Amino acid sequence: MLNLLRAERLKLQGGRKFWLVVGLVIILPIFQLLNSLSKNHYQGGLTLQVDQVVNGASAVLMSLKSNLLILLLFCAFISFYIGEEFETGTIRNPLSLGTSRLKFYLTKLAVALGLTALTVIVVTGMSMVGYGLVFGFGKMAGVTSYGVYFWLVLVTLFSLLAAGVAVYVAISFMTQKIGSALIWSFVYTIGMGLVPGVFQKINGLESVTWWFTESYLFYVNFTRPQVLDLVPKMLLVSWLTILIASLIGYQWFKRSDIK
Amino acid sequence: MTETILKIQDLVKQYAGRTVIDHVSLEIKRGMIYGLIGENGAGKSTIMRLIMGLTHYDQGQITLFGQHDELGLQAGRRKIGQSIETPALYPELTARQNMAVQAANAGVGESEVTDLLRQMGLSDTGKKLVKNFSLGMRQRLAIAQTLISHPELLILDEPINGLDPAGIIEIRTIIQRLASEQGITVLISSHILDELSQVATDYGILHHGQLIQELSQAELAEKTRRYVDLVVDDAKQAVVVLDQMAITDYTVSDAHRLQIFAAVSVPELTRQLVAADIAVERIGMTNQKLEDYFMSVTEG
Repeated sequence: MLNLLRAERLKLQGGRKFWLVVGLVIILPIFQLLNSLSKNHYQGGLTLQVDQVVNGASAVLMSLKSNLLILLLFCAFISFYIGEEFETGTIRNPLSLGTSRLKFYLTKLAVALGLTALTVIVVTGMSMVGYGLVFGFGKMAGVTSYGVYFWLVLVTLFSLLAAGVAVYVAISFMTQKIGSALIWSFVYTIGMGLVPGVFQKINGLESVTWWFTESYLFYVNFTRPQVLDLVPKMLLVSWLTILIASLIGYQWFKRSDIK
Repeated sequence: MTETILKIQDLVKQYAGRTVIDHVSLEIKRGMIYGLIGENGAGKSTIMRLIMGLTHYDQGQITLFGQHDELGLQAGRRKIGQSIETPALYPELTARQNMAVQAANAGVGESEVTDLLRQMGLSDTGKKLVKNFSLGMRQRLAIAQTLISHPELLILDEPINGLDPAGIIEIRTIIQRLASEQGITVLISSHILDELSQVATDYGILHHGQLIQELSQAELAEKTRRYVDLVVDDAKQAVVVLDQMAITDYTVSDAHRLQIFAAVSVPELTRQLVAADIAVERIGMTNQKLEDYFMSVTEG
């Protein structure tokens, strides 16, 4: 698997898609900072619940604030990153050298999750520095131990985003085409933002809403310290989603014929 | 006894209820250049994908280097280099970067990349991206890629497809060199049959998913040797003349047509036939090509 990871590194470094994603990930916090500055100029101040990120301390929530942008960015990147292997036929190269499909799948998943972690780190780090310099580091209201809050929120947000990315990986392996993967990943992202809310309106099924990772990204207020009580459930839902999506994606891939 | 590298027994593959590989059995021994012949859709690429484990088969058995269990097949595939259908390359990478990726896939170092690129005439491509390569360059790079893992068997699917005459000669030379200098066994498919006949040592004719005939180069030469194609009004009368001339190596196709394989003087034969009052409609030397033979086998 280390050999495959070495191959992935070479592919990512040599290709343009990776650098495009890196560029966008770097631009994202700068864009959000400029946006906040603009709001600050016209409205006189930022409100924590509305803006989520108002200073250096709350910048840990930048990947939450930008979650839809990050998910859509990865939706496109993963569709190309994996779909291209099928469309150019390059997937035949490692597989025909005796590499098992499980190893191939896990390598792609590991790279995708690694890039998600990198994105969360870069976005959070740059935002903390940028917002800290412009608006001051400040603090999170009601949070007694910022260190604990920071790490738990960071890991949780990574896990929630990683769940979405794992689904994109599964979809790409199932569709084996860039176009189809893009469409279905987009449908999934939008659908998971809307569908879970439906359960809220059905008596007895309200709790189902909270078995979808995007419900937490879209509807939970992370600026309150009470969010830490939800961390175990959020981690469970996230990693369960990653596990189920990967099992389905891998089984589909294992049974499929490679053209 | 020559080692059997690849053995396929009773292989069946179906797509949506349609049988695309129909009980195919074949055997490739070390040193062979096995040409798989067939029209488009005959199942050549499918057989290659089945060998490489890219496609699952419904029935039968594949044995690679004497192993047929899953682990043995995986180990066997590490000794195979393949270029199936189009050259599988990363268009946004350079030739060297593509080679480095394949070296990583194979778990080998990059020390031979420079030499392989030189062997394939690609050492001066520098920073040129593969998407800007000609088809011939891509084919050569795909072959170079297959060699990075030191394969004992090379599977090449239509490697001369779409190439100009110079490109075809280049690829043919490379394949012959790999076989003769490095002792690599080759399974090659092409629908440019006369080109294939210049490379292969053995042939398998695939038609509608069935392997309808296997023959060696010597057997093919026998079947496609030069002969006098003779069309007359009465073949029986012509046979009498041939007997009188002590010509014995001939076949009678129908009531009017004969093929004479023995060395014979065409003017003398014509004179004798006319003297016997036989109307000669056509007489001339013909060299049956692999293409003609393939057509006669598949249409017959």
